[in-house]
Amino acid sequence: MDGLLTAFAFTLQPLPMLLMLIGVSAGVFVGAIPGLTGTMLLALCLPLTFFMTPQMAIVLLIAIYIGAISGGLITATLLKMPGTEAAIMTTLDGYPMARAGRPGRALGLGIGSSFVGGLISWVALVALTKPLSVWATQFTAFNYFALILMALVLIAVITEGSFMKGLAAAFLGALLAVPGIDPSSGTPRLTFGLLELNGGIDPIPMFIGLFALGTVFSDMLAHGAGGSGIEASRKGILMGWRDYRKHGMNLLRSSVIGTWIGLLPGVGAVIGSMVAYSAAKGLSRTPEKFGTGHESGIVASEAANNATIGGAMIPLIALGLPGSLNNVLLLAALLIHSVQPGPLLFVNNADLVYILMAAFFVSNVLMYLVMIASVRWVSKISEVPQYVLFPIIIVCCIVGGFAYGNSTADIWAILGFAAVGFLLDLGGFPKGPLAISFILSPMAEEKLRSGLQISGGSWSNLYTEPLNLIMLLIALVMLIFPLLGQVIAGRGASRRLGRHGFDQTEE
Amino acid sequence: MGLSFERLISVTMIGIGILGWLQSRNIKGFAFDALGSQAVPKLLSALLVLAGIWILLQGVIFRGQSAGTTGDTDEPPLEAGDYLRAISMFALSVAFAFLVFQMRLPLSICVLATCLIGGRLLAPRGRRNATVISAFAGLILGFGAEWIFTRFFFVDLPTLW
Repeated sequence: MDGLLTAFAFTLQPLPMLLMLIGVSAGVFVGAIPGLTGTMLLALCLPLTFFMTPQMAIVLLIAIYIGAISGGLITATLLKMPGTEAAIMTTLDGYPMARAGRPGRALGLGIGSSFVGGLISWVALVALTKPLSVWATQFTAFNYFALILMALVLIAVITEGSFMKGLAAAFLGALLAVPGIDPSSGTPRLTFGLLELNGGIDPIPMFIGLFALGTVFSDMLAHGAGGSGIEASRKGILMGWRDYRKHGMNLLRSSVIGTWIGLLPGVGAVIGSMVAYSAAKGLSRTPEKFGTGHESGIVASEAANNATIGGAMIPLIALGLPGSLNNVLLLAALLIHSVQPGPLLFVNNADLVYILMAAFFVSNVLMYLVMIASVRWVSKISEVPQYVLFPIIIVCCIVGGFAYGNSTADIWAILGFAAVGFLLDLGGFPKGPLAISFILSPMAEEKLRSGLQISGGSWSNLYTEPLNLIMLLIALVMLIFPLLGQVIAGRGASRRLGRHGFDQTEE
Repeated sequence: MGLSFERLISVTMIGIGILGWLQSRNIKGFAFDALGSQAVPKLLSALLVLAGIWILLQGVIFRGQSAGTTGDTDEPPLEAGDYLRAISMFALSVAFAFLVFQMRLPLSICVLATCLIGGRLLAPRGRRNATVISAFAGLILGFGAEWIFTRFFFVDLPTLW
């Protein structure tokens, strides 16, 4: 408790407050612009955090993360264009309500619910992280290996698009993590004789290329689609006590669902808001009103998507396992400063963990204030033309990438990975599993090899210890079922096509 | 078009996997564990090749059916001009990096030029004030970035003064 209070005292100082204000505002503005995402902004800001202390870096990145997830609701409500994927479900009820002449009320419900969702997940973050990390200190190397393997399979399986493409992207990410000196034996691996590859591929230029620059090129192909714009209004923008009482159960349920889903690797804010929305609809006495501008729909979606942030932080801090792309970038920022998240983070850098928790809380409050105050301007920012925005982002990526290491090689790596990211987008391959397995697979290999050293080369602990066996079986089941499903679905489609005598996909 | 990119990426993945496998065979050295240094790169290369073949075959066996769900959107189909615009912007980014970091031309001038050319490439036809807006954005960003990165972050960037 003392640690948390000291952290609050730190985050409430002028400089961290200023950084959080900048971070939340930038996140809200970027989140509001369709096509630009918080992940992109986080990737862009990574090189800048190199010039900061770890405390300041984490304060800034958390603020951006929270701002970006929340910002999407403004354009989702006013323009029927979710600024971020997380706000997709908000569009279903937010836009009809705004069109019915109550834009202020729709925005107010969304902002208030985001705030409550964030706070409830903060409570879970504070309450669960330490016990989980204490429990995780008892993990053996094989336990860790089985856990990482299960997380990797889950991420590849659940990520949007095809299961096989997610798996292929994960294998590619894991293979890209191999080049460099093998930490166990000191032998160079897959370096092709290049000395520059002895240190491995640097994740920062890779992530800037894949998620910031590569996404810009993909966005150039996207055709804008959305409803007619509605003028923002402040009427009804503050949720009153009566509203909180009326939607209390929905807020609590959706926040708990969001937090729980955030805990699972790879699932994220979109699924969180979908599940919470479905639960609210299923339990409602008037399910037919959902999708027509119903208050409960906005409340469920926004409370859940913000709650996933706190949930996703728990395994990141306690186990060192990033469950989402934004968490991978947070992990990368910590690694830049030689801080290794995991069970020992509470022992080695407890102050940093508490600062993260305090920054999470304060950023939520700032997000609420910034969104209430800037609703009109934010809705205008989405009108910034792409021909101005995209060249600016390209310049920021390249100059920012150079600033990170003062190295021209980083620039060519950024451009190379931007091309890779662009091609992956075109082919429909998800980039999330690639980035997450790039970070997690070396950890998995290290744990497996440590386990083998400890056990004297025996693999038996992997299948005789119940916890390992359960996690490996879960991974196996998750791996086999979608594969079987894909084969069965493919055969069915093939038979149907054969019967009709033409290719429906071409039609 | 998505399907041909899917095949292109699958073939590239198979190529990377084969290259990884061949390179893994050259890994030497003593290892303290039963697994050794070769096993993981070899396994990952093999799995990448298998995944690439699976995706490729899925398209062939199931008569051009994509392994993904990308083709099911309501968006209008992409035209050659859309790809050309993105490729032109990529070429512009490479040129910007080459001029600033290899030729050491001033950052502010290069940023201004990139914003102007990028603005011309991306602006819809008939948008008369696009050049003025792009130039304005380029001037602010160019001189702003030059000043901030060299004066505050002490980054070794070529400047105008």
